[in-house]
Amino acid sequence: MNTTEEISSEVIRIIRELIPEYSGELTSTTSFEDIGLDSLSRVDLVVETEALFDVEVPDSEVPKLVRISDVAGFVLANRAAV
Amino acid sequence: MTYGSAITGLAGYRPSRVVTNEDLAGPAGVTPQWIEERTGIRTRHECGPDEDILSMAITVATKALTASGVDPAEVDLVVLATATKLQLIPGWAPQVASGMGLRCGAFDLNAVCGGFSYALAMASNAVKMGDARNAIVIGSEQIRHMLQPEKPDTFVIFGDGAGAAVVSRSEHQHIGPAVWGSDGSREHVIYTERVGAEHHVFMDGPSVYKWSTKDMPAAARKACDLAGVSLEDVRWFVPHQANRRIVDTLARVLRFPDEGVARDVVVTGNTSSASIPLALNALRESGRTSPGDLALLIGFGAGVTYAGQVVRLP
Repeated sequence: MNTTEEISSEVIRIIRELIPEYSGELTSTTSFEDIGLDSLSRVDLVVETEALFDVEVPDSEVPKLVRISDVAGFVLANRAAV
Repeated sequence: MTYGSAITGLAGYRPSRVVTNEDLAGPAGVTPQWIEERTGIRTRHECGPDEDILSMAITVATKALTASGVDPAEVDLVVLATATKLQLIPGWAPQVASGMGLRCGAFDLNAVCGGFSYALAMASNAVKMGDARNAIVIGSEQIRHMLQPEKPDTFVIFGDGAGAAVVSRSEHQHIGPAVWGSDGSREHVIYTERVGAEHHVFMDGPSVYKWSTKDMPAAARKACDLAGVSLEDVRWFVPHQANRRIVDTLARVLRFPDEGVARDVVVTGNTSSASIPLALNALRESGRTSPGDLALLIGFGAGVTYAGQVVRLP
């Protein structure tokens, strides 16, 4: 799983689990604010993403992750090379 | 010679003034619904003019001692966990002891929201080593006067209160070994700072949530391992009552049955070191627990620091 699209797909899957009541479209450019993902649910997303991709998101970076593409980009840039 | 240790008495103290979400919503510029949706808290308590850390501690410790049936002359140690005492010197545990008519060993301990679990471990170890026949552990906090409406994330969460447990020599090991740890690089996530003559509480809620929900499940599992029990053996999960969201997420990650999770935070708010004994006592007073039930305690918070253990309920 090395492309932004593949990582985004997993991020979208996690978001669907976190807010099953949201049935709208999710794309890499979707902002968390627009879909009602509150600050603590964003942390849930980050924690699950960290576990899935074996990355560590510093506390200071979490507020900067405001779109699905931000999360995917962080993972791509920081995950351990495999 | 070493002994076993057990909790033989519990008590809680909630200040008489109840603060509702409706009371706080206006000053904080939010709605009561916003408070409940965000924190799961409906009410918290606030000290009146005749209540403070010391008076609550003396009252709750006396109640716990009465509940235990222990002779006051056989109490050898008082440990006061508090993080909101503004006077640095002296520690107030000796005044708690004196207020109970005791002249035993007494000291304060500050591990903030993890304070009760740390103090329980200290007391249990003292009893097991023979340094104390009985020890009283107290968490007592008065924090509401340090909160400002313009910071709703703390203003609506915290409450005043106190809780206590008596730890006694036992033939059994009813207080499991402590799991504990810390991460001082996260000192910034909850802290106090002097602003003029006042002390204000600052909190980075999402960072607290991230640390606690990511790291505490492993600590909880380790506490069970150290006690030689599995999570499935544990009847009651009593984490620090930080806010309902954290309690719910920890319970979900640990797959703890919903009916076994303490959610005293809903009516008491976050009372820092007092939250675990208050929640434990509320469970016991509900009539839902039985003597010998296993409870998993895990206190965590500012520092950041945490401690936890598995105990058998009295």
